[in-house]
Amino acid sequence: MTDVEQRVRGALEARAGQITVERLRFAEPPTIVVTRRRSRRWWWLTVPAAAAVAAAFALFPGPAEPDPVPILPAGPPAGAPSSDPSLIRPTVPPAFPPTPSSPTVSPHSGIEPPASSPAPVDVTPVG
Amino acid sequence: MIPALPFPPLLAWLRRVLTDAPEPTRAAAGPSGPPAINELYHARRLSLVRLAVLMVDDLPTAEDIVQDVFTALYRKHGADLRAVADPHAYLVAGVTNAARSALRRRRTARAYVAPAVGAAPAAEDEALLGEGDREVLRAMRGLTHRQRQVLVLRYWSELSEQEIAEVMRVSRGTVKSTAHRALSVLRGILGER
Repeated sequence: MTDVEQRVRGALEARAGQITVERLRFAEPPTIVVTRRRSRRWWWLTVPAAAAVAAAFALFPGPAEPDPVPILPAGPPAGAPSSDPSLIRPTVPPAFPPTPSSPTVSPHSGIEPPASSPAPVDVTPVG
Repeated sequence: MIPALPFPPLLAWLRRVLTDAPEPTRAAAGPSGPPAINELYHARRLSLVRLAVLMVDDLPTAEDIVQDVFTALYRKHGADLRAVADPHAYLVAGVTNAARSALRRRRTARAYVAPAVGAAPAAEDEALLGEGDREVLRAMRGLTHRQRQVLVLRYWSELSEQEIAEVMRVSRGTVKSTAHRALSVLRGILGER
Protein backbone atom coordinates (compact mmCIF):
# COMPACT_ATOMS: atom_id res chain seq x y z
CA MET A 1 0.00 0.00 0.00
CA THR A 2 1.40 3.33 -1.04
CA ASP A 3 1.61 6.39 1.14
CA VAL A 4 -1.31 8.06 -0.61
CA GLU A 5 -3.46 5.02 -0.05
CA GLN A 6 -2.58 5.01 3.63
CA ARG A 7 -3.39 8.69 3.93
CA VAL A 8 -6.70 8.19 2.16
CA ARG A 9 -7.60 5.31 4.43
CA GLY A 10 -6.72 7.27 7.55
CA ALA A 11 -8.60 10.38 6.47
CA LEU A 12 -11.73 8.38 5.64
CA GLU A 13 -11.64 6.61 8.99
CA ALA A 14 -11.21 9.89 10.82
CA ARG A 15 -14.09 11.49 8.95
CA ALA A 16 -16.34 8.49 9.54
CA GLY A 17 -15.39 8.49 13.22
CA GLN A 18 -16.90 11.95 13.57
CA ILE A 19 -20.34 10.53 12.92
CA THR A 20 -21.57 9.08 16.18
CA VAL A 21 -24.94 7.86 17.36
CA GLU A 22 -25.41 11.03 19.39
CA ARG A 23 -25.11 13.16 16.26
CA LEU A 24 -27.78 11.26 14.39
CA ARG A 25 -31.26 12.67 14.55
CA PHE A 26 -34.11 10.58 15.85
CA ALA A 27 -35.56 8.36 13.15
CA GLU A 28 -38.08 5.56 13.25
CA PRO A 29 -37.66 2.17 11.62
CA PRO A 30 -39.03 1.94 8.09
CA THR A 31 -41.94 -0.27 9.12
CA ILE A 32 -43.42 2.45 11.31
CA VAL A 33 -42.77 5.21 8.81
CA VAL A 34 -44.39 3.32 5.93
CA THR A 35 -47.39 2.33 8.05
CA ARG A 36 -48.02 5.94 8.95
CA ARG A 37 -47.74 7.00 5.36
CA ARG A 38 -50.17 4.26 4.31
CA SER A 39 -52.72 5.26 6.91
CA ARG A 40 -53.05 8.73 5.49
CA ARG A 41 -52.81 8.00 1.80
CA TRP A 42 -56.57 7.69 1.11
CA TRP A 43 -57.89 11.01 2.33
CA TRP A 44 -56.88 12.84 -0.84
CA LEU A 45 -59.04 10.50 -2.93
CA THR A 46 -62.01 12.64 -1.94
CA VAL A 47 -60.74 15.39 -4.24
CA PRO A 48 -60.84 13.42 -7.54
CA ALA A 49 -64.02 11.70 -6.36
CA ALA A 50 -65.73 15.04 -5.86
CA ALA A 51 -64.43 16.23 -9.23
CA ALA A 52 -65.78 13.08 -10.90
CA VAL A 53 -69.19 13.58 -9.34
CA ALA A 54 -69.26 17.21 -10.41
CA ALA A 55 -68.24 16.28 -13.95
CA ALA A 56 -70.93 13.62 -14.06
CA PHE A 57 -73.57 16.11 -13.05
CA ALA A 58 -72.28 18.60 -15.61
CA LEU A 59 -72.20 16.12 -18.50
CA PHE A 60 -75.40 14.23 -17.67
CA PRO A 61 -77.87 16.64 -16.14
CA GLY A 62 -80.72 14.11 -16.27
CA PRO A 63 -84.00 13.96 -18.27
CA ALA A 64 -85.44 17.22 -19.53
CA GLU A 65 -88.39 18.60 -17.65
CA PRO A 66 -91.82 18.28 -19.42
CA ASP A 67 -93.59 21.33 -20.73
CA PRO A 68 -95.62 23.09 -18.07
CA VAL A 69 -99.30 22.28 -18.18
CA PRO A 70 -101.44 25.43 -18.46
CA ILE A 71 -103.72 25.94 -15.52
CA LEU A 72 -107.26 26.31 -16.76
CA PRO A 73 -109.85 28.26 -14.91
CA ALA A 74 -112.17 26.24 -12.80
CA GLY A 75 -115.50 25.39 -14.49
CA PRO A 76 -118.01 22.70 -14.90
CA PRO A 77 -116.78 19.50 -16.37
CA ALA A 78 -117.39 19.11 -20.07
CA GLY A 79 -119.56 16.01 -19.72
CA ALA A 80 -121.60 17.18 -16.77
CA PRO A 81 -125.39 17.22 -17.27
CA SER A 82 -126.91 20.69 -17.36
CA SER A 83 -130.58 20.14 -17.95
CA ASP A 84 -131.66 22.59 -15.24
CA PRO A 85 -129.82 25.90 -15.62
CA SER A 86 -131.11 27.08 -12.29
CA LEU A 87 -128.98 24.51 -10.54
CA ILE A 88 -125.76 25.95 -12.02
CA ARG A 89 -124.09 28.16 -9.52
CA PRO A 90 -121.70 30.83 -10.65
CA THR A 91 -118.19 29.88 -9.72
CA VAL A 92 -116.65 33.28 -10.34
CA PRO A 93 -117.60 35.80 -7.68
CA PRO A 94 -118.50 39.32 -8.75
CA ALA A 95 -115.56 41.61 -9.25
CA PHE A 96 -116.87 44.27 -6.94
CA PRO A 97 -119.20 42.98 -4.32
CA PRO A 98 -121.73 45.50 -3.20
CA THR A 99 -120.66 47.50 -0.21
CA PRO A 100 -123.60 49.34 1.27
CA SER A 101 -121.41 51.61 3.33
CA SER A 102 -119.51 52.99 0.30
CA PRO A 103 -120.74 56.52 -0.61
CA THR A 104 -118.84 56.66 -3.95
CA VAL A 105 -121.13 54.24 -5.72
CA SER A 106 -123.56 56.03 -7.95
CA PRO A 107 -126.49 54.24 -9.57
CA HIS A 108 -126.07 56.31 -12.78
CA SER A 109 -122.36 56.50 -13.39
CA GLY A 110 -121.43 52.99 -12.31
CA ILE A 111 -118.20 52.37 -10.53
CA GLU A 112 -115.94 55.33 -10.21
CA PRO A 113 -112.14 54.95 -10.29
CA PRO A 114 -110.59 54.66 -6.91
CA ALA A 115 -109.30 57.75 -5.27
CA SER A 116 -105.74 56.57 -5.32
CA SER A 117 -105.52 56.40 -9.12
CA PRO A 118 -103.45 59.19 -10.61
CA ALA A 119 -105.27 62.09 -12.19
CA PRO A 120 -104.62 62.91 -15.87
CA VAL A 121 -101.76 65.33 -16.31
CA ASP A 122 -101.96 68.21 -18.65
CA VAL A 123 -98.75 68.32 -20.67
CA THR A 124 -99.54 71.45 -22.61
CA PRO A 125 -96.63 73.84 -22.28
CA VAL A 126 -97.40 76.98 -20.45
CA GLY A 127 -96.96 80.14 -22.39
CA MET B 1 -53.70 7.65 -20.14
CA ILE B 2 -52.57 6.18 -16.83
CA PRO B 3 -49.06 7.72 -16.89
CA ALA B 4 -50.62 11.13 -17.25
CA LEU B 5 -52.35 10.89 -13.89
CA PRO B 6 -51.15 13.70 -11.65
CA PHE B 7 -51.17 11.59 -8.46
CA PRO B 8 -48.21 9.21 -8.05
CA PRO B 9 -49.87 7.30 -5.16
CA LEU B 10 -52.95 6.75 -7.29
CA LEU B 11 -50.75 5.63 -10.17
CA ALA B 12 -48.89 3.19 -7.93
CA TRP B 13 -52.17 1.87 -6.57
CA LEU B 14 -53.62 1.43 -10.04
CA ARG B 15 -50.48 -0.32 -11.21
CA ARG B 16 -50.61 -2.69 -8.25
CA VAL B 17 -54.29 -3.42 -8.87
CA LEU B 18 -53.84 -3.94 -12.60
CA THR B 19 -50.81 -6.18 -12.22
CA ASP B 20 -52.31 -8.00 -9.23
CA ALA B 21 -49.11 -7.52 -7.28
CA PRO B 22 -49.19 -8.53 -3.62
CA GLU B 23 -48.95 -6.00 -0.85
CA PRO B 24 -45.67 -5.98 1.08
CA THR B 25 -45.62 -8.04 4.22
CA ARG B 26 -47.00 -6.20 7.20
CA ALA B 27 -44.60 -5.16 9.89
CA ALA B 28 -46.18 -7.13 12.65
CA ALA B 29 -43.74 -8.49 15.16
CA GLY B 30 -43.97 -12.24 15.15
CA PRO B 31 -43.23 -14.65 17.93
CA SER B 32 -39.59 -14.78 16.89
CA GLY B 33 -39.06 -11.10 17.63
CA PRO B 34 -39.13 -7.82 15.73
CA PRO B 35 -39.15 -7.78 11.92
CA ALA B 36 -35.85 -8.52 10.27
CA ILE B 37 -35.71 -5.17 8.59
CA ASN B 38 -35.98 -3.35 11.91
CA GLU B 39 -33.11 -5.37 13.34
CA LEU B 40 -31.10 -4.62 10.24
CA TYR B 41 -32.00 -0.97 10.55
CA HIS B 42 -30.77 -0.69 14.12
CA ALA B 43 -27.63 -2.68 13.38
CA ARG B 44 -26.57 -1.00 10.16
CA ARG B 45 -27.91 2.52 10.24
CA LEU B 46 -24.83 4.18 11.73
CA SER B 47 -22.34 2.52 9.38
CA LEU B 48 -24.51 3.33 6.37
CA VAL B 49 -24.82 6.95 7.42
CA ARG B 50 -21.06 7.09 7.73
CA LEU B 51 -20.72 5.60 4.26
CA ALA B 52 -23.14 8.16 2.86
CA VAL B 53 -21.35 11.01 4.65
CA LEU B 54 -18.08 9.99 3.05
CA MET B 55 -19.78 10.14 -0.34
CA VAL B 56 -21.88 13.29 -0.04
CA ASP B 57 -19.96 15.06 2.78
CA ASP B 58 -23.19 16.22 4.43
CA LEU B 59 -24.78 14.58 7.48
CA PRO B 60 -28.46 15.56 6.96
CA THR B 61 -28.36 14.43 3.35
CA ALA B 62 -26.67 11.20 4.38
CA GLU B 63 -29.37 10.49 6.96
CA ASP B 64 -32.08 11.11 4.39
CA ILE B 65 -30.36 8.77 1.95
CA VAL B 66 -30.17 5.94 4.47
CA GLN B 67 -33.78 6.40 5.55
CA ASP B 68 -34.96 6.37 1.94
CA VAL B 69 -32.97 3.23 1.17
CA PHE B 70 -34.47 1.35 4.12
CA THR B 71 -37.95 2.53 3.21
CA ALA B 72 -37.49 1.39 -0.37
CA LEU B 73 -36.20 -1.96 0.83
CA TYR B 74 -39.23 -2.46 3.05
CA ARG B 75 -41.70 -1.43 0.37
CA LYS B 76 -40.17 -3.73 -2.19
CA HIS B 77 -39.41 -6.82 -0.12
CA GLY B 78 -41.48 -6.52 3.02
CA ALA B 79 -40.35 -6.85 6.59
CA ASP B 80 -38.95 -10.36 6.66
CA LEU B 81 -36.43 -9.85 3.81
CA ARG B 82 -36.58 -13.51 2.86
CA ALA B 83 -36.49 -12.62 -0.83
CA VAL B 84 -33.26 -10.64 -0.50
CA ALA B 85 -30.17 -12.78 -0.95
CA ASP B 86 -27.71 -10.34 0.62
CA PRO B 87 -29.36 -7.43 2.44
CA HIS B 88 -26.04 -5.82 3.31
CA ALA B 89 -24.92 -5.67 -0.29
CA TYR B 90 -28.37 -4.41 -1.23
CA LEU B 91 -28.10 -1.57 1.27
CA VAL B 92 -24.58 -0.58 0.22
CA ALA B 93 -25.64 -0.52 -3.41
CA GLY B 94 -28.74 1.48 -2.53
CA VAL B 95 -26.76 4.05 -0.55
CA THR B 96 -24.20 4.35 -3.34
CA ASN B 97 -26.83 4.93 -5.98
CA ALA B 98 -28.78 7.35 -3.82
CA ALA B 99 -25.61 9.27 -3.01
CA ARG B 100 -24.84 9.55 -6.70
CA SER B 101 -28.33 10.90 -7.32
CA ALA B 102 -27.98 13.38 -4.47
CA LEU B 103 -24.65 14.62 -5.82
CA ARG B 104 -26.20 14.99 -9.25
CA ARG B 105 -29.07 17.03 -7.84
CA ARG B 106 -26.64 19.14 -5.86
CA ARG B 107 -24.58 19.85 -8.95
CA THR B 108 -27.69 20.86 -10.86
CA ALA B 109 -28.82 23.11 -8.03
CA ARG B 110 -25.42 24.77 -7.78
CA ALA B 111 -25.56 25.52 -11.47
CA TYR B 112 -28.40 27.92 -10.64
CA VAL B 113 -27.63 28.97 -7.09
CA ALA B 114 -24.02 29.36 -6.13
CA PRO B 115 -23.01 28.11 -2.67
CA ALA B 116 -22.63 30.70 0.03
CA VAL B 117 -19.31 32.47 -0.02
CA GLY B 118 -17.17 31.63 2.97
CA ALA B 119 -19.34 28.73 4.06
CA ALA B 120 -17.28 26.96 6.68
CA PRO B 121 -17.71 23.34 7.71
CA ALA B 122 -19.38 22.64 11.03
CA ALA B 123 -17.26 22.62 14.12
CA GLU B 124 -18.06 18.97 14.75
CA ASP B 125 -16.78 18.16 11.29
CA GLU B 126 -13.50 19.92 11.96
CA ALA B 127 -12.92 18.39 15.36
CA LEU B 128 -10.79 15.28 15.72
CA LEU B 129 -9.33 15.82 12.28
CA GLY B 130 -5.64 16.35 11.90
CA GLU B 131 -4.24 18.73 9.36
CA GLY B 132 -3.15 15.82 7.18
CA ASP B 133 -6.64 14.35 7.17
CA ARG B 134 -8.22 17.69 6.33
CA GLU B 135 -5.78 18.10 3.47
CA VAL B 136 -6.65 14.69 2.04
CA LEU B 137 -10.39 15.30 2.40
CA ARG B 138 -10.06 18.66 0.66
CA ALA B 139 -8.17 16.98 -2.14
CA MET B 140 -10.86 14.33 -2.47
CA ARG B 141 -13.42 17.05 -3.13
CA GLY B 142 -11.60 17.63 -6.42
CA LEU B 143 -12.36 14.11 -7.63
CA THR B 144 -15.31 13.09 -9.70
CA HIS B 145 -18.26 11.44 -7.99
CA ARG B 146 -17.33 8.03 -9.34
CA GLN B 147 -13.67 8.37 -8.34
CA ARG B 148 -14.63 9.38 -4.83
CA GLN B 149 -17.10 6.53 -4.48
CA VAL B 150 -14.58 3.99 -5.66
CA LEU B 151 -12.04 5.20 -3.12
CA VAL B 152 -14.59 5.16 -0.30
CA LEU B 153 -15.77 1.66 -1.14
CA ARG B 154 -12.21 0.46 -1.56
CA TYR B 155 -10.45 2.03 1.41
CA TRP B 156 -13.24 2.45 3.97
CA SER B 157 -15.78 -0.27 3.17
CA GLU B 158 -12.90 -2.64 2.34
CA LEU B 159 -14.69 -4.03 -0.70
CA SER B 160 -12.81 -5.85 -3.39
CA GLU B 161 -12.71 -4.60 -6.96
CA GLN B 162 -15.26 -7.20 -7.98
CA GLU B 163 -17.62 -6.22 -5.17
CA ILE B 164 -17.28 -2.56 -6.06
CA ALA B 165 -18.02 -3.40 -9.67
CA GLU B 166 -21.21 -5.19 -8.65
CA VAL B 167 -22.31 -2.37 -6.37
CA MET B 168 -21.69 0.33 -8.96
CA ARG B 169 -22.82 -1.84 -11.88
CA VAL B 170 -19.66 -1.30 -13.86
CA SER B 171 -16.95 -3.64 -15.00
CA ARG B 172 -14.04 -4.62 -12.81
CA GLY B 173 -11.66 -2.96 -15.23
CA THR B 174 -13.56 0.29 -14.88
CA VAL B 175 -13.19 0.10 -11.11
CA LYS B 176 -9.45 -0.54 -11.41
CA SER B 177 -8.83 2.29 -13.85
CA THR B 178 -11.02 4.70 -11.91
CA ALA B 179 -9.15 4.00 -8.69
CA HIS B 180 -5.82 4.38 -10.44
CA ARG B 181 -6.79 7.75 -11.89
CA ALA B 182 -8.18 8.94 -8.56
CA LEU B 183 -4.96 8.11 -6.75
CA SER B 184 -2.97 9.85 -9.46
CA VAL B 185 -5.03 12.99 -9.02
CA LEU B 186 -4.57 12.89 -5.28
CA ARG B 187 -0.83 12.46 -5.66
CA GLY B 188 -0.77 15.49 -7.87
CA ILE B 189 -2.74 17.58 -5.42
CA LEU B 190 -0.92 16.40 -2.32
CA GLY B 191 2.47 16.68 -3.96
CA GLU B 192 3.52 13.11 -3.30
CA ARG B 193 4.73 10.36 -5.51
